[in-house]
Amino acid sequence: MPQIELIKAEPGMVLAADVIGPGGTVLVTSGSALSDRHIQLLKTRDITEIDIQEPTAIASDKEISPKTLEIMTQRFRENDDNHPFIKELKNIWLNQVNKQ
Amino acid sequence: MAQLNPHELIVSSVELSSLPEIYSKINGMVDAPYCAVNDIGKVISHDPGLTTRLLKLVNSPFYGFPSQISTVTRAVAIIGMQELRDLVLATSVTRMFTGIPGDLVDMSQFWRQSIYCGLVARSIASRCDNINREQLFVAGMLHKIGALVIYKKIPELSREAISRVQFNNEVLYKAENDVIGFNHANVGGELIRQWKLPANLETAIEHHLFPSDSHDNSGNTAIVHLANLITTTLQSSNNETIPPLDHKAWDNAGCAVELLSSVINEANAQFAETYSLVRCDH
Repeated sequence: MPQIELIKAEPGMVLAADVIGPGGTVLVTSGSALSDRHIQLLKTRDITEIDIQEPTAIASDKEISPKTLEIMTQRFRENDDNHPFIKELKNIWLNQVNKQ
Repeated sequence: MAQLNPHELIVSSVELSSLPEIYSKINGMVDAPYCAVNDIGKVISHDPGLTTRLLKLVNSPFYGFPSQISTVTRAVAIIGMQELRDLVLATSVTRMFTGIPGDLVDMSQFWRQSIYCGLVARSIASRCDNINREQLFVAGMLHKIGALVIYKKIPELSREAISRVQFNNEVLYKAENDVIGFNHANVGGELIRQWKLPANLETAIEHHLFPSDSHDNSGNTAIVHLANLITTTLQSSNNETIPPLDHKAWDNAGCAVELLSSVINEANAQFAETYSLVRCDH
């Protein structure tokens, strides 16, 4: 779980740990996706660093086994391979398969 | 059954044709011109199970509020009455479908996929400036509800459609269209109509396979469509074929492709806890 400076935080990043305020109270809980409002709130509470979850890495073609490629082609055969959404969805699926 | 169509399928089933009483009560109160938060709090407090589930849900990472919310009235005040109504619906519906043959559908897997889809839809909404986050959670969660009606009412035809999906790798809705003459999206839309739920929920569920066929420009239907493709890709246990992307829906949803992995990370992070709170096994 990478730690980043709050000034580099962007909406949509997901917290990997609770953010604890100066008084010991939990300001935003682990698992929350940051919104603009969260980020503003944390700034006013003097938070400087937060733990965020690792974004999904992009799978490279080399890592795909012939068997996986066959399943992928079969599963996505109703879809246009060149559409950016489908491309990204395949990438995310491949990452999930590689992790298992 | 006189004729096989989505409407007949639902009205011929007493237990499916109306929603639990507590939901209708809350629904009526939210729609009334003057509705006090305290009154809704009281109605919900009469159902201890529902109260517990709602309080756990508003205190979970699903919301990520900084401090503990300990009463239903406070929960209503913070998340809003309409959002609360949507959550009541989500936690009530899962109890309505019992007695479906186990070889047709693994109910636990069905609700896992449904709740995951709801979380993905909600997460896309929050990144695309769509204000209907909670309703999109419900729409995503119920997008396939029509399939349960089909399993329950016509198990033999369902079995044939499912075997085509499993053995011929057909897309589910096409197999249903061929075998039954209509599909789970048609039945889902009809069910939502019978339950007198909001029209935008009905549209999102009825047209989630081809949002371009609807007149919905709000992006709601498009978001449920995308959430369904994502869920089928990532949560299908038997490598199901992904239904075709409606390209216009992608444009209409207004979601940047770079945001997808953070959408999925967020859904994954919230999944286990939300599932245990919404799904009611007891």
